[in-house]
Amino acid sequence: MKHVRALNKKARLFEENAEQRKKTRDEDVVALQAPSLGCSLIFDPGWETDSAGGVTGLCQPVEADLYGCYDDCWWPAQVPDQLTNHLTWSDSCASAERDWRKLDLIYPEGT
Amino acid sequence: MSQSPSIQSFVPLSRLLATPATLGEFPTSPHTSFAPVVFGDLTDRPGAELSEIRQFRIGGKSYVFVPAVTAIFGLDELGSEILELLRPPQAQSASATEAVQTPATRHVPLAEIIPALQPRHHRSDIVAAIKELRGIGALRLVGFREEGLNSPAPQLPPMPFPQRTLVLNVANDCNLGCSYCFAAQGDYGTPKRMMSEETARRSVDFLLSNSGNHKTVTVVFFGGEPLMNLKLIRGLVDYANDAGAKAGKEVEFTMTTNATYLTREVIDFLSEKRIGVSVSIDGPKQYHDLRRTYKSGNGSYDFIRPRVLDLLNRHKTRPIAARATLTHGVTAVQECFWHLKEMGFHEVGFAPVTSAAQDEFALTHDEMWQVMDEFRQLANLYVEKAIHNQHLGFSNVSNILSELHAGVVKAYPCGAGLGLLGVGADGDLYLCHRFSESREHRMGSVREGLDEAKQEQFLRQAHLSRKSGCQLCWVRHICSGGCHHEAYTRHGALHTPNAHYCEWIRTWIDIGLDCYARIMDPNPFFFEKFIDKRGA
Amino acid sequence: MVAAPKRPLQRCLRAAAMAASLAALAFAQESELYVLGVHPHGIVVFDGTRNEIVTEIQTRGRAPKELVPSADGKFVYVTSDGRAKLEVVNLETRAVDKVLELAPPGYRLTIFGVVINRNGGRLYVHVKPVRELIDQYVVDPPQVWSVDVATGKARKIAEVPQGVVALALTRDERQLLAWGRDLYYIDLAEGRITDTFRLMNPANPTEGALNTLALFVQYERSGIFSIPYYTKDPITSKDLMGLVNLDVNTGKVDTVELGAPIPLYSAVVSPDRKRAYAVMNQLVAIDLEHQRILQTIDLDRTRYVANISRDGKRLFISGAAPYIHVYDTDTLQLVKTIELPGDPAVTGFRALPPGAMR
Repeated sequence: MKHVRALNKKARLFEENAEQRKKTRDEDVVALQAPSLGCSLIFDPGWETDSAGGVTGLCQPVEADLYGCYDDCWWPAQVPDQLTNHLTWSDSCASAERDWRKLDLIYPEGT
Repeated sequence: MSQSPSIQSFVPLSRLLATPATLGEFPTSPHTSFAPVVFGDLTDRPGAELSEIRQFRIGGKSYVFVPAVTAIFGLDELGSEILELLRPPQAQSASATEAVQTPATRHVPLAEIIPALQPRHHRSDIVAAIKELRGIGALRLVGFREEGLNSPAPQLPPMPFPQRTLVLNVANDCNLGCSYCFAAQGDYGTPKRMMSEETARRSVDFLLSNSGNHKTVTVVFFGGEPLMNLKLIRGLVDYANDAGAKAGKEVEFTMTTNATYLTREVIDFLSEKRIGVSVSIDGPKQYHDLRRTYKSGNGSYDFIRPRVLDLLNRHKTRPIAARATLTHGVTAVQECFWHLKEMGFHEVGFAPVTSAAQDEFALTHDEMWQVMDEFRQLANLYVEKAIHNQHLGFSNVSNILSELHAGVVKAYPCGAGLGLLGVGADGDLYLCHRFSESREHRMGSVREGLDEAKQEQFLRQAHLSRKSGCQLCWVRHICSGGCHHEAYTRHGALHTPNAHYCEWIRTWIDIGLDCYARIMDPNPFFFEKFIDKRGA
Repeated sequence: MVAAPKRPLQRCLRAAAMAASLAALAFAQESELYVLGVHPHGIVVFDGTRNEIVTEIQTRGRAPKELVPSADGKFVYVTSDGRAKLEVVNLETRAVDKVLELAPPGYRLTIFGVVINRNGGRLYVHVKPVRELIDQYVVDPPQVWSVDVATGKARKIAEVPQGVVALALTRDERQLLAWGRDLYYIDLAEGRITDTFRLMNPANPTEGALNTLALFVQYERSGIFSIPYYTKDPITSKDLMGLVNLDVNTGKVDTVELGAPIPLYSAVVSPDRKRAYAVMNQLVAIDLEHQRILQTIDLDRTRYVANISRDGKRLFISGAAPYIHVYDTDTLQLVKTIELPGDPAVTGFRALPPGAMR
């Protein structure tokens, strides 16, 4: 960093972080050449349509893909964090399509 | 038809983090988002605003402290100007005693920032500086979905939390009767008795088996006056060293004493066994004898002076610290400091007395600020010496520098109930030594083990996120509400923040920040040499 | 184009004969068994001969993902709990014998890629370790470990680049194949990557990067680990797809270009290696000899995996929703639907070796 200099150890972590992110970003730019076909090895974050711009190429129905997708963190949006805080969120619901009513709701403490 | 959903609590016990620390470090949630540095041009983003920061200048140099993560940065002129631009014109830089440092910010469109700075700086430099400031959380860009440095979700530390330090009440009795004693003149208001050797051994066993991955653990001999039970201490040191060796760990010993029992024989024992010593001494005779008296009322200074000098002369294996308590009428910090330094103490630390507001020995409001003045003057001297790689030995400054250097983000003010526990004379476990023999704060025993349910309850309730008064304060992650015992004594409640000294603490931490920057820039080596070595 | 159907009468007779022989040999003839994982914590053993579920075994961790049967059919090794645990499921007792906790203290592991050697004494796992410090995570490089099954002790063999999702062992067990962005050949004696078959990182600028996700392992019947690839021809700028076929026994790799892309998750090769069947929202039958798509049918829902019967005549399709669909490989007609107790999610659908659960 040119205009900001890290003084304490915490600040130095930021510096290292910034360096790391710069490095990985440079690597990732190369990877985006391949066409985005959802669930290929290269993540294309933010894709909500298939490569034709529709949804027929995505998993159908979307519930069927819930466990396959969110559990490995392929699809982290709009579901409770199952990596750290809410591991058992979906345990009562054996089949997302059939038993969706048994999915737990998560509320912040105090509400 | 539809079943009612089951509701889960939002704060589960996280088994995330495994590497321990004694102090309750605030675990950084993996979901804390640091504002990512952005590609490309910034002029298509709407505008910038200040995040929560404390800016300060020393001489010609500009610095910024980011309270959310306790990070300290130096800025160049350009960086500093950008932040100034975002400050509302009528607002001065907030004074340190203000809890909220950035109550208002201007929202300045980027299209304005750049031209405002352009005559003096290159456009590319301005853009780079904005990105960097954003990357450290000093400002945020507004107009598209953006998060600043979020407070981590409240999480309990990993359980079971490894023990690092046990403070043993080896003698529930004292030969002195100091008026301000938080232990009610030595016995905590319970029958006078000595800890048994068996209890002491069980305590060491408890510490070693619950210390997780810690390679070193600490046993503190406390009381009352610990040297009244010298026999136990002698036996225990050998036992602990053996048990420690078997467990593959090192045991360190320290002791806090009133110095009245320091015979030559005792001094040699302490030195041989490498027991660190903290002497409770308040300054020259006229101050010390005001409060540190025998039960008869006679002062103890004359008696302990030759013994302390002997200790300082003969005990060379560990640093010897003086611990002075400031009370009503005992506020001449510098005078006391130099007196104690001249006696030969390596380190001198001062603590304002813990008191209820109406106690006779309580410091008045004015006295607190006189103390602050004196602290400030000593701190300036500390800085001058530090720049020349010398250590003044004023513990109060060393402590705050250590925390600032590490960048601590504390969920709890100290390790009490976490990595540090007090053991009462009968083997009961307490939050810390100050709560010794207090049934309400009992957390199990060295025989039965730690009462995990009580500990969990304590940790939930004591968590910084529960102290609503602290949430916007810029020193919250360093102070974390202050000493539990202080709060209990002053306000009758364990988990209240110590509101009576908020402004004082903010002033002190600000002085600490100032000292930090003044030493770090010319002589960063000072931290490596003197500060890093301090244990947690 | 579909292969000419056999004449109806012949088919009937054949079917009758088969049914008779099945009935007669019901106790002597071994069923083809398959194993897959279901949400929230179960392993289902499926009888592919009778088209019914044999049993469901509870795992200790949740969301079982990878399944690796031992060669003697006695055990299945399963990853669960976010791919952090490795459980040893005993098929004879139908219970979990033990859990191999491979993570060293202070670490969290994610296991992507498990394979076992033929004598069942050694597992190879690909792990992504993260060190969880008090205020930060430190990501260690992904690596391949060798695990002694009896003691559970792990030993690092080599570091691998990011992106590996599957492992395979060559027949001579000298090489470990790690399938990630590229295919890495790890010499087990030397403990390092000695060769790479480039997929995502072509050496030649005229070749497109082949984008694969080898998350679905179904090569038991043919020995060919087949995964669809997607690419863009850098010269014509056309999007293309094909199959990457890895012969697990020898380590040889073949690519089969098939034309315009159809999104597909995985493929399974027939035992005679002449056909491949791939699934996602369609079921695609591929002629490997002539390198072209034979037939594509729409499925009613997304499927992740397919495996094929020993005689190559039936296809078992599963994944995503809680069903196993049995298809006839000649006609691509749905023969039967079996309901599962839970969603199979992203788990394999693996054929158990003969002798399992006798």
